[in-house]
Amino acid sequence: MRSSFRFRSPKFWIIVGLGVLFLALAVWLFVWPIEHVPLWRLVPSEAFFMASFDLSSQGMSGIIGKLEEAIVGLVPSWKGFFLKVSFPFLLPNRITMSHRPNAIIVEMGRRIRAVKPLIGLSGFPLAYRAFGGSILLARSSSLLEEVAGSRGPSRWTRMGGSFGRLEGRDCFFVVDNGDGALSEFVRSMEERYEFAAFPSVDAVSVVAGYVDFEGEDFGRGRISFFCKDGNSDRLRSDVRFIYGAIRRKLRPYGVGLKGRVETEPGAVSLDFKVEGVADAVVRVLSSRISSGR
Amino acid sequence: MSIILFALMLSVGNAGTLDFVSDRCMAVVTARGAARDVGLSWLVDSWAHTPPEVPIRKLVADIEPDEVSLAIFPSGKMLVVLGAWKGKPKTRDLEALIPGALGVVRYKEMEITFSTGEGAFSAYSLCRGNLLIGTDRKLIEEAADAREGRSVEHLRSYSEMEGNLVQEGDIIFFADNRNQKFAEFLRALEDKWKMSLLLSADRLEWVGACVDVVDQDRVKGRVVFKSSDGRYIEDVRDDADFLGETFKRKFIAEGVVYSGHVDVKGEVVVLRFEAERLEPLWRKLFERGVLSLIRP
Repeated sequence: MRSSFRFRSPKFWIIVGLGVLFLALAVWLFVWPIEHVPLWRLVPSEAFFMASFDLSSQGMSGIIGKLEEAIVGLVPSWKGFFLKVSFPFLLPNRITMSHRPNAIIVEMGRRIRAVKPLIGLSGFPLAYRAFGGSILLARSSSLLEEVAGSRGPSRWTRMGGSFGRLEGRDCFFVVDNGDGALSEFVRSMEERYEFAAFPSVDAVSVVAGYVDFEGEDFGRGRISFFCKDGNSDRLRSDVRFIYGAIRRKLRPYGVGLKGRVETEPGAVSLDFKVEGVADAVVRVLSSRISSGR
Repeated sequence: MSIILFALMLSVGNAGTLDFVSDRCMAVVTARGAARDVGLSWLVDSWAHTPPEVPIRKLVADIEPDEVSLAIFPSGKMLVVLGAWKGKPKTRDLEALIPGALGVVRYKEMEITFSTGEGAFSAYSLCRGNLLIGTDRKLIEEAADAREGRSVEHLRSYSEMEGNLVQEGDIIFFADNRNQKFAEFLRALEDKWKMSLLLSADRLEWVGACVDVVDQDRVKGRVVFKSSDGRYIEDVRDDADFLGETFKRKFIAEGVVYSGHVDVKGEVVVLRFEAERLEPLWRKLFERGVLSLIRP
């Protein structure tokens, strides 16, 4: 008699209710499946450039580790401690960026359910919207509406069909020159600097490349320039020059690049090895963060 | 006969501009025939008469020197030596070069006028038919020391460079990389521009170049890179190739016709080049200031 009384006490039911609620919340946050929206569907269709970084990959762990150390070191006392504890939770699985229009796609999986309210509370300066386990960030909310409303195949879903295998790489990028957007961009840069860096750009349909890291300091990759008309002679000379320019641009940051340009049917490719990326990324980001404070 | 005697007297009394350039310099460029050679005289004259009128341009326009050397030292300081002129420099033009309160000191056979003002130059001296203009007084004193067998021309590497250039040029450039002087200079530019110019800079012994300014539209020349070790020759070649490509691409954008070729001979890499339709580019360069391109 006595025990059934306890069983029916309101306190008991409040505790049970809270426990169930907490359990349900935990299941919803960490176990309940979340829709996986393909990366390629979220890239704004008008963008001509996209680059993606798989932050959860084994290869990137060395760079991420150094980066975490540097960022935590820059943040004072308790904030630094909080950041260190929450870093693994806040670290996205993948970050993808597009250019013209500029947008950032942050893929976090189920954690998005907890992170999204935090973004709302933090007074984040960009417009954002969740798509399954990803958040799309952009300057204007109209771009988010456009992506949400898009149905059927777009420029980037088609690219995903051809270059989807790149998603298995640590970092990759794709530039689409199908509508001449890359040509236009290169020409405006050439006019600005009065320098013919890439005169054969019109012959290029797509540029795609990737890097895979081994340890924190060494990576290998390939960049392929696909030709529209199959004529790769002029393009080869340009790719060699671009490779030389990138090598010389990276050196002051302590990054060593060594590569080889090869011609294949319909494409010119640069196979390369790269060293010193982790330290360079940490140095550049640290100086940006310090100067921004 | 009297003309020969006069010429002999001149050769004994006057010194060449390079005699005053100390072997401590990092790089030196010498133009010979600025008053006689068709192409070079056009080039120097156009530079001297391009507005805005600044004291050094006015001076060159007035005295029309036939030989000019510009030396850059590891500290970034500069010495200009003008020689074999048509008209003697006027004192007021010389004083305009070094604004501020003036003073005079004697050093060896030289009388050096210097100023305490802030300007590109702060000292000058006339010596044996040459006018020396320096960023500071010490450089002019060093120039007097250089005449005692310590000029850049006495360097083994300078003679070696002259031997490798083969072709006669109106303009000769020499960069000395002993003790990594030239590499350090490039490193300063690298920090400024966040871009390496020569990846193999540490592996070079010296760099030389000669340019024949055929006329206002055409130049031909060669750039010679001496590797300090045969093992690095491919790296040096890569730099020469890149330099040639950079010229080509700059020239394409400016409507200049360019052709170039890189050869390797032992420990030396040679970039031969020829360019046509250059006049608009020269004018643009003069308007923006040539020195702005080479100062770190």
